[in-house]
Amino acid sequence: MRVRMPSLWILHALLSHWWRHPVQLSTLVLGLLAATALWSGVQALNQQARLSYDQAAARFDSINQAQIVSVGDQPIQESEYIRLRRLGWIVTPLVEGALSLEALFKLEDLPEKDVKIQIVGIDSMTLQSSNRSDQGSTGLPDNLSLNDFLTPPWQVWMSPSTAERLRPLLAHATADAFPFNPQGEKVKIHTSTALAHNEVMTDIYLAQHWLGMEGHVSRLLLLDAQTPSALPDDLAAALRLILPQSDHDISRLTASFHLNLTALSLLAFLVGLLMVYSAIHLALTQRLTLRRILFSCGVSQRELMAWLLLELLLLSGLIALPGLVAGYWIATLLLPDLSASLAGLYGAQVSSELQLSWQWWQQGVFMAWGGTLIAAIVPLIKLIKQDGVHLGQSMPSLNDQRRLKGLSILGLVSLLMAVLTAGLGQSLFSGFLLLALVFLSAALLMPVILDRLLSLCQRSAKSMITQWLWADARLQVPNLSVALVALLLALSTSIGVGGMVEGFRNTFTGWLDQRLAAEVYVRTDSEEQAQQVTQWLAGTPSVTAVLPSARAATQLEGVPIELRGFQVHSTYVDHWPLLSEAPQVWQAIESESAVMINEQLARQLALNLGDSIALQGMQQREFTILAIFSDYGNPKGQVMMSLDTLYLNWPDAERGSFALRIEPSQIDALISALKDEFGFTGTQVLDQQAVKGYSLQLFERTFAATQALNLLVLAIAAIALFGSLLTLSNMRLTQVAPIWACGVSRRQLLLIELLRLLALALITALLAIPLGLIISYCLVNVINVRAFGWALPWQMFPHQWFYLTLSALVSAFLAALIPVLKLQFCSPGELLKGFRDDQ
Amino acid sequence: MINKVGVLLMVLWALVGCDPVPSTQGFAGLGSDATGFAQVEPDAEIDYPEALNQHSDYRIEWWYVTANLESESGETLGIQWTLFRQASSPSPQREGWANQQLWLGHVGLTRANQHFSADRYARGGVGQAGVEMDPFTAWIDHWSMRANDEAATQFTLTAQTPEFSYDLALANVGPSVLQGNQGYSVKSPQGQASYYLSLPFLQASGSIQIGDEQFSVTGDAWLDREWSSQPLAEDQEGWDWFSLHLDQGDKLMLFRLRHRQSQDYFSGTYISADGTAYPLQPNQIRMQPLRQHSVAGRRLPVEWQLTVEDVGIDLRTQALNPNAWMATGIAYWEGPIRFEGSHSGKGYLEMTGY
Repeated sequence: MRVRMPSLWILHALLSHWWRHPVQLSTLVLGLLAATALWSGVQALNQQARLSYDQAAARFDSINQAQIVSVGDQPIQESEYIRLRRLGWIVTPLVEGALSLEALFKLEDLPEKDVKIQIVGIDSMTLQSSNRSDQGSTGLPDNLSLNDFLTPPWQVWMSPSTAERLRPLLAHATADAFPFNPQGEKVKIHTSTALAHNEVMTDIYLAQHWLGMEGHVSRLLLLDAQTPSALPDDLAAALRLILPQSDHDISRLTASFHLNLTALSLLAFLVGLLMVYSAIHLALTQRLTLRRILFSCGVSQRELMAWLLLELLLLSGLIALPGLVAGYWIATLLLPDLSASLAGLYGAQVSSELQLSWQWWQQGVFMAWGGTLIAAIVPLIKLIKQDGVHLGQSMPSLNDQRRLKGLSILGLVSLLMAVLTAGLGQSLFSGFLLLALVFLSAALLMPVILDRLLSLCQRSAKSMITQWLWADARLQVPNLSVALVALLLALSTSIGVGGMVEGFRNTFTGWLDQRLAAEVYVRTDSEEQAQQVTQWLAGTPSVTAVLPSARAATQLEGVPIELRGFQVHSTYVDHWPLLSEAPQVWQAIESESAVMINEQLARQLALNLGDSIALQGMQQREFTILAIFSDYGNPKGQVMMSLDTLYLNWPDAERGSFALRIEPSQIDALISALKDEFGFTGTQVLDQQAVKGYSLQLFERTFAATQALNLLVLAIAAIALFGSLLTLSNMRLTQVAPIWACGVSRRQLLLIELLRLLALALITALLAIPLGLIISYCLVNVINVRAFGWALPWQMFPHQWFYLTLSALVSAFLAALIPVLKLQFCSPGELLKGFRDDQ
Repeated sequence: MINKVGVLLMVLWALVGCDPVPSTQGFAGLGSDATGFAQVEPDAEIDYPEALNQHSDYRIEWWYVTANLESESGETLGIQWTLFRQASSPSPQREGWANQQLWLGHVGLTRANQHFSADRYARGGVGQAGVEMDPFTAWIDHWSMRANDEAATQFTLTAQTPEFSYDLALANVGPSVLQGNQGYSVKSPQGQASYYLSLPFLQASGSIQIGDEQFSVTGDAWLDREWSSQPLAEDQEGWDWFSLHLDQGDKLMLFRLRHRQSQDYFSGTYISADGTAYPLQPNQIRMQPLRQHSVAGRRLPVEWQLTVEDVGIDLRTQALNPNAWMATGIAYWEGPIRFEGSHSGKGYLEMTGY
């Protein structure tokens, strides 16, 4: 029986390779670190957002919760609530209101005094009578005692982050304000992650007290599945029943937002993995000698495989942890922008504080392991199959040609699938599949195209040296292709995403100018106030036009629709952003039952000019669509009609919004006069500039995360190229040495070396431009339409291509610098060694 | 606009996990310490209809109606209507939402092959639930029991749930009956007690709706009024309670309180058809569970042998529907029964703490 040595020395032998090749190790570390960090960072963002959605599931108004609200300005009377209960309505009251920190604590000169805290008061007793069976899990402690919740001094519940925010203020709290109850006792504060950020939940008694709403409730939630159909007659005038709507848009919208981010992070992961692949590939090839030695020491193939796998898992596990920390850091940096844009776009509140579950860490480590194993499969199989006369060979071998052929066949198949997906797919998922296939095809075809281009150059080369330059470049392609593919993917993503964002910005700015043509926008609280405002404005000479508008909500084919009534005026006729229109559209809207619909609605229900629609609740028979307008950022379908038509069909439409035309110099004076006269607050009077500013700011924040990720991907690609060149630089000596020996000067060699790399980078960048354009087209005309319901014009921005090409050349130059300098400063003896060591 | 429903429903889920009354002591917390509340003493004078009013100084009380009914086509049905009040802290009473009274309503309907139950929760101070006098009205949401006159001789009893509803007129054709010692009903050898008055001579008539089925019904009903601050001993985990209408017109109330550590406590009252009450001593009563039945994951005795030799009672009872499980926040078995033996008749059985 053979005496077995303890096997740990095999691992030691394997690992020693990395100590001797620190550059390779750092390529591996950087690649995996970047892959894990970007992937897990985006996953952390998604997870945080999803957590926030779960915390406030169905937060969007009137989506899946039947409720009763007050018709007028006054909140619901408590007696009306009791009357409904005693009629058998299973409703529970909510007392809600947002208080600034200043108002909440009744303290002045607070830091962050404008931060709003949402107070939510519930009646836990009536909440209990709802259906018990279908409630999901909760983050609230199981030991929440109803008795304590209902008994003096009562309790408040808030998220840990809110508690953290309020803690310093509690020390200064006065007995007539939060957190003291009406009896002057301090209320017990409890924390739970189930509550949303800046939200305080308490008993209805305390909420009424702090919000000054004694005797009133904000709204009533219907808890019974069997909802009574109509409110009793005596309450119907004061209250309005809002039944759940099947609103699938919002969830789809936020889902697509996260899908976008996930797709980008997957791409980053892929680019990182390409680095990992090239590092592992190189390391395994360079350890062929070690393999031979180990075999001769009695290590079996299977044993070696097992140890190699263990080594990789060990390394990747170790690298994954700092990667996750980096991911956490990236997420922390991006979260404020993300939560701002989600709040602005969809009204979704995402806490700006990360709360990550242990699954996130677990998933991150598994992704790192899985990615490393995938990256290692091909090199490991090669290691088993061949005897190792592959990587360093000096002529393009039959193997390489066969490989290129295989790649091009795969690439063409993938391209064909992309074309099929483009032609047949309708869903958002197929849109992303199309993008993935485009990337895959490009990655597979890239080495072939590069090879063809270089051989073309080689053939047209005149001098021996230039011929060698191209031939040698061709020879390098197999070794550099992975890094070049990474660069190609990163550059084309930059071109695609950058073009989309830039195009969107142009369109959006132009659209804002059209859409916000009036100078001032006013929203009144009530019909009565609206009349007062109208009268007041009539006596204000600086106002040249008062354009009232009203809104209502209804359904079309089960889809929730916003209705807007407006007064036809040159402000709209001249500016409204119409995508398509029938002749005489404005006259038709004014005089007949013609309407305009937004692009979202047109796409969703496949409506065209001249089509007729019948909306739920309308008095007339039908409306004719005579125009389609663009409506970016609106998740819902919208129908616009004249005010008269709206009032005729929906008499209870919400009135009281005005667009005012005014001399620009008079805007500030008018706004302050309106505020003084009617006590309007922040968002009730808006000047156009402020709205535009806010919208553009929102826009920038929406794409901040996208652009940041994009830049990071590009940086990783540059590092990948750098790493590959660096690891190759040693090998280069053996290939350059013969040329040097033939009498080519070292200076010339250096130039050629640089030129070759720059040429490779340039070709890659040039290939990235058409690919980027295809990606940009997919984004604006496929993904956007399917995710958001509107298309964007496909625009091109050559200056972006120029800068990206330049950045590719600069990164290639920088990446080549160290290897080239190494060549410059190595001794002739070292160059001569090339002959000795060469395979 | 933002909707907090999600949070609320999650909170709800957490709240549902706990009983509306602290249940660490005895069944449904009825054995909890009652410091600060008024105490039940012997020799108190209990008058009718004043006994129907709420007694806020005491921690807990209930209005409990059961009725054995028969439809025009001869089908047997049973209904239950209960209002519980529990104070989370002693007087003085706080106003509005701060009020410490918690109200709980239970309704049930049983037929041979179906049983329905529902509950409602409310807090005092805002009018969602309560009890008023002159005339007597007890309500939680739209479930109510109201007297048609100040003397409380006629009542209207209503309840509606998605599955069933009933609207019954109850006529009190006999005297009110004080249970135990002139209304002082002892519940354990340690002396826990409640004030206990019954209206066993209620005649019921009215209508019941189950889904689309409509029934005209008549029958016998029974009201129990009980209030206390600590009706159970700490180690009493439940009870078996019978209210029986004997065919000859006499009534019988029996209960057994089950102790965790010691012997069970028995009590009862034999009520002759003219309303004369004969309190029964614990040693006079034998209550023997016969057949066990599985319902809602528990095993309960749905057939009993009841013996009170001194008054010639030896009965074997049988549940109309052994699955009469009240799947309410505090769950228990409550349903109509029939009995044969020395006497025949019908009644109601309540079994808690299984």
